[in-house]
Amino acid sequence: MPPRVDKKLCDSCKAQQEPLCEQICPGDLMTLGQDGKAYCRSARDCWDCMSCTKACPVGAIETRVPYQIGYHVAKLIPLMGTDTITWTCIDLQGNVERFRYRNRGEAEAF
Amino acid sequence: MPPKEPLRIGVYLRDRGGTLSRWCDLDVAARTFAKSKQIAQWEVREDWLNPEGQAAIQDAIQSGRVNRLLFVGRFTASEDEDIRGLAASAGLNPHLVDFCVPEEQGIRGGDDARDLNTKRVIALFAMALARARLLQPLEPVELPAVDAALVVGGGMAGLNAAMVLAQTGKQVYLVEKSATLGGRVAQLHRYYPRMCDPRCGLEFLVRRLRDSARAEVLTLATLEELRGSPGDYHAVVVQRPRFVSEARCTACGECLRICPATVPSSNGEGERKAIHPTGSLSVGQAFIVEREHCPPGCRLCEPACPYAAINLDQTPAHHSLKVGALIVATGWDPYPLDQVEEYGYGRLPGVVSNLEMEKLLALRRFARGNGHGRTGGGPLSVGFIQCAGSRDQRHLSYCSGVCCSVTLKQILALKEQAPDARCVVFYMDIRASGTDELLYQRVQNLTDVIFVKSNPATIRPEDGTGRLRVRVEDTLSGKEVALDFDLLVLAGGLIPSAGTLEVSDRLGLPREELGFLESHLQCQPWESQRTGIYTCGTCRGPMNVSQSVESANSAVIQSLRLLGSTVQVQPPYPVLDRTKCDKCKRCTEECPFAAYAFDEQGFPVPDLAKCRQCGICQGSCPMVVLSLGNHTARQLSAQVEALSERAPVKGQPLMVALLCENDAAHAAVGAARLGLDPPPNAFFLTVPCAGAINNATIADALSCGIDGVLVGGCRDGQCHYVRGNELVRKRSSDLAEKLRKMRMDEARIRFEAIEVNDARRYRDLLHEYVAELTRLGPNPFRV
Amino acid sequence: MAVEASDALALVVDVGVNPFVCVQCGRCSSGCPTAFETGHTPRLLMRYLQWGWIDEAVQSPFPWYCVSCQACTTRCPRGLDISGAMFALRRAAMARGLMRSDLAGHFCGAYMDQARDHHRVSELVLGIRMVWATGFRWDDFLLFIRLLLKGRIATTRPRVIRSAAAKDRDGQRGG
Repeated sequence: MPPRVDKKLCDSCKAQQEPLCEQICPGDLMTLGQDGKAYCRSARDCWDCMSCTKACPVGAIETRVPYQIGYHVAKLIPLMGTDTITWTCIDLQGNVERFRYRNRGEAEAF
Repeated sequence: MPPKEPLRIGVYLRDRGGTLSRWCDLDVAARTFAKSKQIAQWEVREDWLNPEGQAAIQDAIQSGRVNRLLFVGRFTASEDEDIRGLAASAGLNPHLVDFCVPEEQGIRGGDDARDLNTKRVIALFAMALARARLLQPLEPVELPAVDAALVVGGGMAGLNAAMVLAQTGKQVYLVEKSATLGGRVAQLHRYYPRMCDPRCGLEFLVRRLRDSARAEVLTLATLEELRGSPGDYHAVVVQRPRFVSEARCTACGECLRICPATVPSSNGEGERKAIHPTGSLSVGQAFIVEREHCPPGCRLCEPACPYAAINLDQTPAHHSLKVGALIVATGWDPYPLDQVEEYGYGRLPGVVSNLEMEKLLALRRFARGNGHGRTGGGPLSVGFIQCAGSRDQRHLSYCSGVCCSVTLKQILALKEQAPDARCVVFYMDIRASGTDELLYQRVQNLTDVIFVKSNPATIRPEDGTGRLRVRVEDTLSGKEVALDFDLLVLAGGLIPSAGTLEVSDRLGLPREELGFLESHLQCQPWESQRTGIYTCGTCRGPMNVSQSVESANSAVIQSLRLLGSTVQVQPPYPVLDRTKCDKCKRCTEECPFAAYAFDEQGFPVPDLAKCRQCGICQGSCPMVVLSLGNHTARQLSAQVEALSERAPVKGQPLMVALLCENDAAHAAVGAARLGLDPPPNAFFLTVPCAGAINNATIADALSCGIDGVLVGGCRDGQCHYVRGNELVRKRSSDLAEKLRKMRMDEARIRFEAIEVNDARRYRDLLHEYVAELTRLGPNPFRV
Repeated sequence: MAVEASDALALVVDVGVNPFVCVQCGRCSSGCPTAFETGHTPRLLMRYLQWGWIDEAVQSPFPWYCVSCQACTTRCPRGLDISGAMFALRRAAMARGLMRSDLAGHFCGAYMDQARDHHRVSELVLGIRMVWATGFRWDDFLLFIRLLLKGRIATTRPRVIRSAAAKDRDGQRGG
């Protein structure tokens, strides 16, 4: 299901050449629209990898869980730490669960 | 890749007068960390800076027992320096030494607090160790530098700057866009308070520069381009053609006899030829041809010159200069007084500006018989209208500060030439501060000078007499007063010159709201917001001649650090990890000092000479690949994670404050010093600027179970790095928005503007925040 | 309904004039065509307001002499609407029952009563009221009669379609 961009939060990555979501999308689906805000060009081709959601620096992107699995009310929200990602999972009934992972494959840096 | 050396941290506690051990149980603390393999040594001493202590430190380093040092206790800034120096001389990189001050966190006090203090100090040690583990051996960087400076603008400020630079032994290039030096001060009749002729001072400066082997003056020149870094700039200066050879012209004047074209003289008196001398305030005696005034096709002067000095085909010259620093001294322009329509400037003869009055005085027009006498005999009547087009929301909102003293000076000069002249000064306030008050008194005491506290609305020509009438309410008496004048002088204000605006656009120098060049900090006015480019004189703001000269000297002194054979950049500075950088360019955008440029592959590269080491780039990086010295996001994250596991008091909210070093942290330390205790589960960590805080660190803090994060920055307009506080406020509010989506309370992140003196407020803020967090309940991430 | 002293200041603030912004430069007085007719000037009135001397302000003849030429407002370096403040003071004076008994007062009263009640001024009514108030002592009395006889004075008042806002204002009318 295509990612949804909150137009108020999206700042087009400060109108640089390629916004972060566009750079990171493996399917080359995210781009800037006429209004200068990001959007997904082809809903059907999105395979919900959520790279854009994780990459957005202002948290403007939200992925919709496909209706066959969780319907639109369900959400998966990543909170990006320095080398961790904390996931909040909200299901159809509104139950909340949270998972925290450390990134593997840490780059050689301090 | 060589294997990483195992960490061997020496934890050295300073128990001055036994206070630390009284406040908390250091044995319990030692036992808590005893199991840590990375701690190679744990020692408590009364004093580490006495000979025994120093010997112990040196021995520990040199024997290889420790390769990181963590000092615990209160050390002054100079003791801090001494210890790092000691470590360096023993062979340990001074940046592998860190300090932890329990007192600052409010860990002090009576016996009943000992248990709590012990728990708090353990949490604090855990944080300090987490940070110490990630310390890097930072090295200063040496960048190339040039021992030369470029001064843009040949007025009073520029000439002074150039002269002082030459005197200190530096090569200096002075670039002036007109043919002569001296700027607007050369147009003045006198300057106050000693009523000296400005030519005296200016000619002295010009002569010094001419005689100096190290100063090169380029007139008819402008700065076209600036490339490179502070310390190592490459400037391109274009010099317009003079059409007369400086080497050959002897100023004989033969060409004057043949030249058919006349142009109005720039000093308002009469005319001169299109080819003319440039006066004493120029470099050399060569004439100049104002080619735009030559009749088309005319080349009569060329063959007429006995020395073949004239070449009407001369083309502009390009100079490529290597300089270490730039000093901008591009000056001011007068506010266009024709904008104040009701005063009739430009429309009514007899209405002049204060600058034009200077010219009239310089030409001695008021001396008897020289042309500006009273129409119809009798004493000359001159009115001065202060605040013309100033302090007015329709024109200049600000006060230019010098115009009142200028009027007082002009009255005295006028009286020299026309002793029986009558003067009236229409004012709102006379701003003659400091010793200018004495100037004011001199003028007040004159019997034929009246000061009327009223601002006229219009100036009308009196039919028949050719005089100008001003009608006002004399506010001090309430009576209507109508006066007629032969001459009215509008004391207009100063605006940034066209040259200042040009240079600002060309070099990307930010301007403040009134249009003058913006400095980095209010308390450091000499440097612009671009490192290596200094400002002096009226391009910074309205000022008088003495202030201008002083500002030139201060700019020169500050620029000296960039003039030499190398520029040393001390850590910390930002380092980029290219592996994960996706060139989003946020660091470049958000850096307030435009210190980033792009390499051929599009990666951002910080210019270390331009960098002001605030860390805002680190805070902005969504991938967290920029690290500022030993103030990295990862260090902060490690610290907050360490804290999350060791809350001193169970059942109470655990909070961490991330405070900027410049203002907010001082409030926290101040609170501790005043004995204003923070809540037991509250700790603070410092950052160079609040803008250096990356959202990832806050995310880590919350996801580890810390109940609340307080971000403390400066107030708007007070951030030492221009806008670090605004940036972090925006970022943390975005993060709070995400928290809301995640069904967490947005209140778990809070931004506060905290000033240096806000000790009490800081303490109250912490307690209030803890109360709010208690109401919200524990963080859902709490394990 | 009598208007209290503080209400007079409130009236001025209500029209957007904060008297404390005034720096007493006197520019308004300098450009004012009627400033010196009464011995009081606009600057002086602003000073009264700064001190809170509402009695003096409200009893001053000057606000009645304001002709709304806007020279003061246009030129004020602080952007104050001085003529607006003068009109507010007139309303405050009227609210206190301080209608002036001279020509300016009669004219203003006649004019403002109509403006308030009908949102239009009828020249006929204005003329009649002036005659009533001043008798034959009104300078323009003869001119008024001549114009009336020549049919140059409108005898009907144009209709106004009342807007909701106007009705609201009417509701606030008092004193």
